[in-house]
Amino acid sequence: MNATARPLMSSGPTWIGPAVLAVAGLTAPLAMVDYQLIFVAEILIWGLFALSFGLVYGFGGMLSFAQALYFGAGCYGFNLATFKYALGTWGALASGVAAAMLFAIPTGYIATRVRQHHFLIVTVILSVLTSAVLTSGHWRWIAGPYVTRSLPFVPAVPLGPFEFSFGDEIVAYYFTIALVALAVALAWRVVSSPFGRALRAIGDNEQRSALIGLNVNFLRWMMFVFAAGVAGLAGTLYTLLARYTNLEFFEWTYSGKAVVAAILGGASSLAGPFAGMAFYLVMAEHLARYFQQFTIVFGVLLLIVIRFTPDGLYVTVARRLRAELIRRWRGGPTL
Amino acid sequence: MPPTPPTATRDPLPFIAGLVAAIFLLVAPWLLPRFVPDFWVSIIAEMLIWGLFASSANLLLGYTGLLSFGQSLYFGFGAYGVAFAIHGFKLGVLPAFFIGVAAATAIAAVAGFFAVRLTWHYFAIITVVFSLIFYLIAVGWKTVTGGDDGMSFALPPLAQFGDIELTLLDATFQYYFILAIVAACFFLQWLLLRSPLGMAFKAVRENATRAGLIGFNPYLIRLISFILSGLLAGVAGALFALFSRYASAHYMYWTVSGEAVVWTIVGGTGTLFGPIVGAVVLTIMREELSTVWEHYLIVVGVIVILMVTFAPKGILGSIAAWRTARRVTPGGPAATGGKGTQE
Repeated sequence: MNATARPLMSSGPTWIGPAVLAVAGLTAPLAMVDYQLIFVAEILIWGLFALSFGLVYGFGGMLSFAQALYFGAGCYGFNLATFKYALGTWGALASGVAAAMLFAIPTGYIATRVRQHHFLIVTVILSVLTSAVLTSGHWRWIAGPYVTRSLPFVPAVPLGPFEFSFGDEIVAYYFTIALVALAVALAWRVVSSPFGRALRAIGDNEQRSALIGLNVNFLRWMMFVFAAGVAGLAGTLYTLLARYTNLEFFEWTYSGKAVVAAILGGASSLAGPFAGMAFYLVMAEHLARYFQQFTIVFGVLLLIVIRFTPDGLYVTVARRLRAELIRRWRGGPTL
Repeated sequence: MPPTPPTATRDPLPFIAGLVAAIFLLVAPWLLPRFVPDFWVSIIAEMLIWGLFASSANLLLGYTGLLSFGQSLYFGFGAYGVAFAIHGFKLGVLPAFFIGVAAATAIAAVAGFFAVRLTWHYFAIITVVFSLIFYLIAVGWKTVTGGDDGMSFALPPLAQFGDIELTLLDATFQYYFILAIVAACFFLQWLLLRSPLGMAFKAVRENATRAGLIGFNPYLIRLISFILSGLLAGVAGALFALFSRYASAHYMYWTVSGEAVVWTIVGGTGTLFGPIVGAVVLTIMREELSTVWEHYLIVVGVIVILMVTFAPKGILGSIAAWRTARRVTPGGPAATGGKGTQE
């Protein structure tokens, strides 16, 4: 395999990072108080949302401003299953993911027909249109009677003979990290499958990929739908954790957050979007105390990152660190 | 017989269409009030301004191949330049106009310095980020900019010759003032696009590497294009401030840039007058539809998506392509007007 093209998949043990993260994730409750756990869970959820943008952009080469649509659709599917069909947590979870993917099938079809600038414009328009329809005050049969909706009960997760209540922060935390980890594992499986490689080829040279027999539009569409499912899961998990949804989640500003976080962290890796989102949320938490327009700081930072390390902060740091570790481990510059 | 390139035969239709449009625009202040209410003269003036603004996005997208979502920044700087000069420094209309344009051009030079090193994904993001930063500053700094409420100012007269006072408060004079500046800007664009520099824009759009190999500096060419486009947007912003006698942070929001891109795409990317056609068509549609249905935005969105998917060349581009296809039929005496040889 071409090692220069894929530095993150180069030689060296690939299991160390995930193992460290898993241990850290599992033992975090020992060191943290409840509200911190919830904050970590929130970071993971928004990170998963940023990952869905990373899948579309970093792995599929499509700059999408529509990811918030599928986050919102996840919330919406959750509410539908909960309030209309009175399904339990698992049913609502499945319904949220299904709603996002079903919504992505037609919208993604429209968007992936076109290329480059036009793709960006179409996704912006799709998300503006959807927000316009949902928040207009008409068509209430689509969006339900409320702009915001709170869960009137504490969700519980039935697991075999047991039932765990979200009222306990530890349950909420472990449930969230388990599902986020599952989604990341699935995403890893997808991007390293032949399908993921085909998309990488399309990103490198679309014409050549078409000539070797790849169905370019179809593959892009499938990636879009898969990423929408990931965003939908993030939306569903958020509804479970915050017990609250808002039509605002459909708006492009939320897509913008995913774009900023994923690019800050590094959109073409699986961990980058999480790192970027963690950075964004932690900084936002602190900066918001000092001045209201703290987004400006991220704007400037994004300009710097794009200009100097377009691969993103996490990817740049991880690459350096990994190269350094491998060099030390093998006792010399072997790369 | 030597093959004649299709451009050699002069096509009279664009010329005729342009002449009709020019005559209409020149006589509009007399013609329109006979058929429609007076305010349509002002609406046309406003459309001209928005058309000029859209053409600034077109210069980048259509000719240099860069999608900018940040044109509103230069529009806003043009407008605020005028507002500050008139309201704060008590300058006249023309100095204020030039200050507005200069401010927009200067900020375009700064933004361009960062932006044009990158191409499409990152370029689009960086232009949005730049305009959002200044938008947030303008919204937050209410004491100076007036924030979203904006700052309004009283318009001084443009010039005075004895008893005759030229003032933009006179709707007809204002119309001709705007028409003259917009026409001058389009004429300059036309000259520019025919010049070697304009050819270089297109070369960079088509293949920056090859353009570099034949001796162009793609970075510099993109930067020039970016600054010129900022200048055009600044002219539009300064005109709009003079027209509406007010400047607002609202016009620096990215949706304003988005509208310029949408007008360009609907009208015809990479055609000189496409942006103005798009602006006119969509503004009229908005005005007319919004009286019937408040969700006209949905119709506009659907139209744009359909255009992008099925007619990515836009209105003017599609008409031109269709006419070329009709005139040039491969392998036949098509130039003599043989419609029958077409499949």
